[in-house]
Amino acid sequence: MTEQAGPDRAVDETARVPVSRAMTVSRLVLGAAGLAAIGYGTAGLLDEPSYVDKWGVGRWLLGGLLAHDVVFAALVFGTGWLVMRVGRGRGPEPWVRRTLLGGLAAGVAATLVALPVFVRPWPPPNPSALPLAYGRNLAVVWGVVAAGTGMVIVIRKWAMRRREGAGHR
Amino acid sequence: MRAGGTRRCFPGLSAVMSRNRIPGDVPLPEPPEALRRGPLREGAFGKALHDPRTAVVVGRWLGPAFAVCFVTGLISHYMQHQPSWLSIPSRPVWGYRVTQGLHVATGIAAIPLLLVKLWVVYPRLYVWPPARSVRHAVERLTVAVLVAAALFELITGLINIVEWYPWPFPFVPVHFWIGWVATGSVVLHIAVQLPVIAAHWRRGPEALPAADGPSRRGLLAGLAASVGVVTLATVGETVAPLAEVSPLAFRRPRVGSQHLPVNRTAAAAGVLPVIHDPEWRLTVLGPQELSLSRGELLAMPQHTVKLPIACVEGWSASATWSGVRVRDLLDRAGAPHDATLRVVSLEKFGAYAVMEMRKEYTRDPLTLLALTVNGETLNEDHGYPARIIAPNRPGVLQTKWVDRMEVLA
Repeated sequence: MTEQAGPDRAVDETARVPVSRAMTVSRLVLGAAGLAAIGYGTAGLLDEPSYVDKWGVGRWLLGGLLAHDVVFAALVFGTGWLVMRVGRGRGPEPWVRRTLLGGLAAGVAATLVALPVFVRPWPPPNPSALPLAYGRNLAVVWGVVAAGTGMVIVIRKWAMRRREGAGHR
Repeated sequence: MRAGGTRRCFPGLSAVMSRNRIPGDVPLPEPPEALRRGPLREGAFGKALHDPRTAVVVGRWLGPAFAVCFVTGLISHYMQHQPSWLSIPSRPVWGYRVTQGLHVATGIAAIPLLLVKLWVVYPRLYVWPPARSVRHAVERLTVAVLVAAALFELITGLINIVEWYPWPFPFVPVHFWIGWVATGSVVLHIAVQLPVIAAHWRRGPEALPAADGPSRRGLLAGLAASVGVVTLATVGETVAPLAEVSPLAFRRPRVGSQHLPVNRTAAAAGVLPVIHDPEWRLTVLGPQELSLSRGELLAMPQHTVKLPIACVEGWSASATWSGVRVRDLLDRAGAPHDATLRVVSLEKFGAYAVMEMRKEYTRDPLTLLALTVNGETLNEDHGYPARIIAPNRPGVLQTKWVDRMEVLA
């Protein structure tokens, strides 16, 4: 696969950027502001009278980080690898596979947003909260995403064929 | 100052400034090469799209999204915990509705944005050596804080809007304080990466991707589609005309008793059966004390207003309310023009049983002690026998089941 689109060259570009005084001052000001905000948030949290379980937030912070870095990212990279490698040279062309991965990403994003609805205990506190049939509706979203992905592939194939046809003339 | 010819993807602070120029930095020994396994191996990840330019392009969308969430979050916080020095206007009428709708919609859109940003930079997690120097280790630690705080805000926010609280801490203050940590971390990250951001702000003279190869445009199209899908799927909870095309919205603006969603029911607030007491009277404690039955309130001049109930959880819905102007009640009680009003609910438990409103709200002609909604007598879940409805105000401060009002000095 031609995956050398030029990031290395881009790094050399960065190396040649002269660090101006304005840049240094901006960085110092931004850095100080950022650190101040982090300090304010941390101090405020530790001072919060209603915040009793002092390790509860730490567990959730670390849990989120691990859930992404260890579990979610591994699944994403694994899926990407599988979809691009399985039956390489045969079957769908790489751009078709990438388009499918794009559709998959949109479907997964919608699923993640809806996930708390499926995981939370049922029923919700009153009938006006969570009033829809979320299982069926998520299936509808996946259907729309699949249809959109299919359309993108068909249109691109058609455009490529047209271009090829024009090239032969 | 120039980098010492380091050839690394994503040069941070370290690559742009020569290591020796930072006073007090301590180089760390490189761990044995034998430990460099799995994702730590050179070339374990493809390079395409895991480059600084892509990170900058995605970051340019993610940064503003976080800024919107932070600012709208602060607005809600200070409207609910109004400092004495801050005067909050009662207009525009839709202020709270729009800012909080934006807070939640932007937070939901930030989920695919953050995940794609993390996908772009993920190979950096396995950079070798893991820490070149003490400063490099600190820099990487701040990135861990950024990622943890950003994920925390999006995850807790998303779970909160389905009215579920599976954590061992109070949501409101913790989401607020970690919001400061997340925002501060973003600003610090921008400071650290500023030379990289500046260098890649415009497209460089890169080789165009092969016709069949992975392209940045393709990635961004997928990202835009994901943001579009999650936004359209949920935004109908506050943009009523889109309700029908938002299959995953957590509320529907017209779904609920009396065509209006409810957050806290009378049963949950523990006001049953007190609110049905036929002897109920509204007490107004002021220079002249008033005691008014519901019939006497209905005999006063009635006003009709169209105002939204807007919840911090991102949903909002317009309704038509009628009742007595709060300022008429205050005038009748002989309250000074600039008096602050304390409103006390019959609610037994909950943080919002007592609410205060200042003159900007009490003197607004749209602020009512409402007796009806959408043409019907308020039902018990909407605050029978009487509730407050005011423009540009958090839903939790639209006090239901009003017991008494106290004019404060």
